[in-house]
Amino acid sequence: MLRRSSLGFGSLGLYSLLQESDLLAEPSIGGPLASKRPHFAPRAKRIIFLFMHGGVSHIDTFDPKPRLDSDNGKPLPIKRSLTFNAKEAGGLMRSPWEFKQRGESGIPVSELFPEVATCADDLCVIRSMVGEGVDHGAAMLQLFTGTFSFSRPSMGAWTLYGLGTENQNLPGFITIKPTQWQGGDKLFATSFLPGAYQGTPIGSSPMAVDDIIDNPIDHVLPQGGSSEEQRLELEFLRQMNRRHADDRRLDPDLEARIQAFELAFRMQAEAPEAFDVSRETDATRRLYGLDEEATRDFGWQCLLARRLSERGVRVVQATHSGAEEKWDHHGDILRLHPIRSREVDKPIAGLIKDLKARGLLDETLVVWGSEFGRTPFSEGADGRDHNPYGFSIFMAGGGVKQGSIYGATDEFGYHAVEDRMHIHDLHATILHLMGLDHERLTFRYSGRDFRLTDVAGVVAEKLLA
Amino acid sequence: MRRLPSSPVIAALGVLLLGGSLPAETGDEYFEKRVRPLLVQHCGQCHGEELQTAGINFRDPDTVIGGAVVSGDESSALIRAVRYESAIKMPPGSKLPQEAIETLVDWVRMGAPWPGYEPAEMAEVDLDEEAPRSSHWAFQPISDPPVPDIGESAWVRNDIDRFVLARLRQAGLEPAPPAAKPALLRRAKFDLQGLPPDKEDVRRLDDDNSPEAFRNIVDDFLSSPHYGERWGRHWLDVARYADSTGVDEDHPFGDSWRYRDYVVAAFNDDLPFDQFVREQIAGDLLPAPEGAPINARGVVATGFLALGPMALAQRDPIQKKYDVVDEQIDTTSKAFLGLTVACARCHDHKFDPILTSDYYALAGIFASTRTFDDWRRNGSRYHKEPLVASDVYQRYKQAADALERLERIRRIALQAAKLGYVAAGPATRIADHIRASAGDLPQNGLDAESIEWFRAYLQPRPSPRKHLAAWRDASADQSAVAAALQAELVQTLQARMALYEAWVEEALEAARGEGDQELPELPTDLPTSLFFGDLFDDGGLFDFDPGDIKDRFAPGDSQRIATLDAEIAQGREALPEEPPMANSVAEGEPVRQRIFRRGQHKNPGPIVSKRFPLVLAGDGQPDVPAGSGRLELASWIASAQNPLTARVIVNRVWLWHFGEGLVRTPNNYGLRGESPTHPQLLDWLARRFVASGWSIKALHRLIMDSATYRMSSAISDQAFRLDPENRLWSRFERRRLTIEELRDSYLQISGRLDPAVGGNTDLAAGGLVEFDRNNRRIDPDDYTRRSLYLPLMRNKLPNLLGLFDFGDATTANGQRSVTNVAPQALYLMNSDFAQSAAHGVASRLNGSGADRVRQAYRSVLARPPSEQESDRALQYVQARPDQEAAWTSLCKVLLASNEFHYVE
Repeated sequence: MLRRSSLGFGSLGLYSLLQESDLLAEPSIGGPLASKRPHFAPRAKRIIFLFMHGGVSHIDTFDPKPRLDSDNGKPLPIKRSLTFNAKEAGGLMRSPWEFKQRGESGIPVSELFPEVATCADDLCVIRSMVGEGVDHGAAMLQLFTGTFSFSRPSMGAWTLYGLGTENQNLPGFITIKPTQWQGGDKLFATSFLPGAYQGTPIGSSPMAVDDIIDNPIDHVLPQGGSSEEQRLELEFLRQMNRRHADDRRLDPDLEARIQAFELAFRMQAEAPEAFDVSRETDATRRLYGLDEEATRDFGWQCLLARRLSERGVRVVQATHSGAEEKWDHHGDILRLHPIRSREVDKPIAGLIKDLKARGLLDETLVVWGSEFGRTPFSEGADGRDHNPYGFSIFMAGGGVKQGSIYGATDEFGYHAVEDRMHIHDLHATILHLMGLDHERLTFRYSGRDFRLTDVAGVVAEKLLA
Repeated sequence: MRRLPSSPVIAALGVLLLGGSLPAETGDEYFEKRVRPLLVQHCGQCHGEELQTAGINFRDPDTVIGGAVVSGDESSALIRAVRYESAIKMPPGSKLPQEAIETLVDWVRMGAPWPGYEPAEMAEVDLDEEAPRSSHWAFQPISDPPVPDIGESAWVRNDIDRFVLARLRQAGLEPAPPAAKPALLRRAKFDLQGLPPDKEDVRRLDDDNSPEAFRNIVDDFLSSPHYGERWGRHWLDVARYADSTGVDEDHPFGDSWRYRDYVVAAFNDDLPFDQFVREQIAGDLLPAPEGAPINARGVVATGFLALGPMALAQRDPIQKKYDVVDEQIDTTSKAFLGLTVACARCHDHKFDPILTSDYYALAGIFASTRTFDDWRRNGSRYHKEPLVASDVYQRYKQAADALERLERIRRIALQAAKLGYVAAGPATRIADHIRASAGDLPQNGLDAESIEWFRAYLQPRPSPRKHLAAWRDASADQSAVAAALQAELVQTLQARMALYEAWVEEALEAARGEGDQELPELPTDLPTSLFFGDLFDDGGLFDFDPGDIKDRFAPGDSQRIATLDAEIAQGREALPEEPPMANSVAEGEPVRQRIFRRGQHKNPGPIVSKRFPLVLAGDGQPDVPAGSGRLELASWIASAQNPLTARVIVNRVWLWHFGEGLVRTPNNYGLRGESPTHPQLLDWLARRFVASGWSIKALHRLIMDSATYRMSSAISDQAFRLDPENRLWSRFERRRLTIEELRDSYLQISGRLDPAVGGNTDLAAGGLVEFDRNNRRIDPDDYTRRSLYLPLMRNKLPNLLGLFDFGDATTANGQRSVTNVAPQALYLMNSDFAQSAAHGVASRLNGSGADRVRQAYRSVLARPPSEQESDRALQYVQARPDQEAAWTSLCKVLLASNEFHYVE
């Protein structure tokens, strides 16, 4: 079942080299990662998911609440739902950051995100996100896999399973600096889906970029010898395997394994180039903030995300995290939130602008968000607690209504009340934008057809462009 | 369909009629006219379609009846809430008018009629329900099929072959020819030990030309401890074994390795499988062996239940508990019964005759079992059980607790001493420092660092500190403000210290007194202030460890702490050795289990008693007399009468030998599972297995002695056409090595394998805790013990395992998938592990030329090269300038070859 499909970008030069060496007996590529037809015409071809670990406060960034200004310090007049740190729950707390209407669309963005604010007309801000996890682990599992307590395939794995990849020479699903805890590998693992759909991690969140750059993907560089020697080595192996297979009647597994080695060789040739951010112009690097200490790390993640995405990697995740959650400000939020927003604001805006300038934004779905938002009431003196009952994320590009706001929270920003977007609905919508029907994207396991959206999920039609 | 009028309503109506003050409407009318508008108006905003606070939606009776409202029960949560009688007062802020409350009470008394509503489970959970009948094959008793009469056949070696040959002949096929000796040897060695044959194995088989030769080799392989490592690992897949809790916080279990070793030993000792089942479900409840104080092995065996994934940080304790119960039901039913019972958590099983009541009848068993020690608290701990007699453990526990009490007192005594020091010293000069930091005072004689701290602290901030408002107020007298801050602080310190002092005295009395006295509660309302917090919390001026300023303590404090130090040292000295512990389950508080409608515990339904699924165990099951019911469950599963248990394990063993089972869905024997390819052979094997005393090793011998097992992997034209999927067993299925086989073989062939069996891999102490670049605890590239011993942190499984289809150690895995993808190839070409294995093989070659090539082939592929192969290899090596690198490269290619990675 070896199907012909696109080789993706940049492999032509390599092709002649390989043909010379007869390493490409047939230019056919198949297997589990072959590019597959979506269920219907997609609005986006690729996803870039920018994950802010810890919980960005929506009421301080994208969901202004005048009621908090007028009722600052007063007790929350409605019932408080299950809260992570109920003991220290205090009164309502106003946002100290000023909101302004931005762009022609007039989407309000607070002064925490001045650069993203300049992209307001490209954003679709969803203000009615709802999840069920009150602690980080549960909330993150749900955001990335749909369930907060079981082992299920990650969103990226489902997408890759549904669509395959456009570029066989790179992994189809890459996650840059994932966190090592609170869900850990589960956030990009396959669970019962075949291992081929697993995300490939590039470093992990406490690591500095400098420790990742030289060897971003495990085992992609030849050991000791030159690539010419490796070519000879692989040729010898190929001949040996070919003779072994010839003595046996066609066995697709043996054939697949022979193909895997050939793909590996091509990957080896393409990956270093794809990861080499130094090939970008100074202007581009500045656009992402690579020249500033505060933004260098996440800027690199965003720029790398663009390079990988433009080379056909189906799903790229970039996580903003560190040795601890970057955004989990149970206390001292007034000091800490601005530090965090400074680290990501310019890189995110840079990514959106860069994609747009390259004509890639239309076919790339950028999703930005956290596992939950934060409470409108204070925690302790100057913090905010976890709030999965109503929070904001935004999308840009790939088929979403530009410069729009979807859904709303109540007057306190506590509960989503209008066009509630449960995480299942978000997943259904993302898959829809990718050309996949979340009810048809199923995998039979243990006698049951499983879905990313379990038995729920409604596509948010109103936000489609 | 209305549920009304049921008897309580009629009774209520009767009362009402007699009383004369009754609503004249029917129940439905009453609800529609009076109750629904009231609920919508007063409650709908938080409990409606949009927002379903606490899961309650007054537009959906499913979320109300049986939960907040129990029909006929005036003490229903709803009524208590609207009467403001419970902690939950509804609606919040303003109580309903009395009239409205009475309307609700009347409605509940009437039986809470709700037009159009009939609770789903009321229909399903007729507690006298009859067992669903199913003619499905797997639920029928195991038959006793006759061995097919196939006449004479030179091919047949035992009765398995007659079943197989009969089907092959029906299809017009002949079995593949027997495998050649080397191939058979390799097959058997990997199959039974997960390792490649070594020189000794090859020589033995070459030398032994008797008809018993292969049988002897099999016996030999079965008696090696490495057999248990290989077959134990198969079972560990089913038992979703791992060393940490996974899900959210991924805490290491610590003693999970004991369960792993138990499984390995069970296979090595050929523990009868029915006993193996009983021990894993209820080993703690089985009698201790003669002379032993407790059944330590049985306790360890329940790790099967205890080592599942669990969300320790889940904030909703009931959800947390029942997610674990669900996981235990899922794993137990899949592992032993091949059933997906957990599908019935929220609704009757869509495909199989498993009812929601069946699920909750089992849930009652696991919910009455202790898996957490304190499941109601945030941040629960999993349960551990000592593996020594209880008095031995108690002695240790008492000593350890006493020591811990002293250490706790010491911590507080240190705090008190620190407060005393600050109160008497630095705090008395706070005002000066504050003023100096503002430039009001010269810095002479003051501490420059402290002044700097205050300068930063008193900077204007976006959210001003209220308690510093006076300081910022330009009109205030700054020296008076500073003095007031100081005075307030000193007062706080002294009051706080006094409470600590009093507590320490009281606690010391308790700790030094007779028996195990609990320490007094530390007062929760310790005097504090915002200013105090700023100074003592993280980053505060006085945020230092009291241990660092011991020399500045008041003499009395120093004396007291020195005494405590001595007592603690003495306690440590006298502490008995820490007893071994096991991650296990134990009997818990008995639970009268209710059905949770739609799987939601906030929506409880009727009570179900503990029992086993009706379709399998029938109705009229005896009650569980006492305890959790695990013992009864274990006996029922491990019974020869259970139609599934023997079939399921026999099929697993077949699958692990042949790559596919007779039933190709090893964890699903339900209606969505596949039917057996050879139903009679399956039943025949199951019967033989039970008759042999549930002996797994006897089953191995039977299977491996068959001509079916000894076929080659060659596929004839006919078989290719008629039996492409090998469902008739027309040949031996070629299979790729598992990651464990791959890794262990590389280690063995390159002479690096550490063959030590069992023991704690030790996640916590010494040597192995180093984090590699991916933050993983052990780098498998450097670890030389068998792969079985790699620690399995669920959320940080070694990349290598995922790369080669290990699975995720989170759900029962009956059959690993096999993928062939490029990153695997990259690993075999470029990893340190592959490189050092190749180097290890190459460095053990000697001689030169063809001789060296022959050795390389023999060590890696356990066969000599053909002449042509030898020539090609030599050409390859000689064409490269660096000979050492060239030989290493040759070995790497041999190790990476399909021939090596597939077993035929």
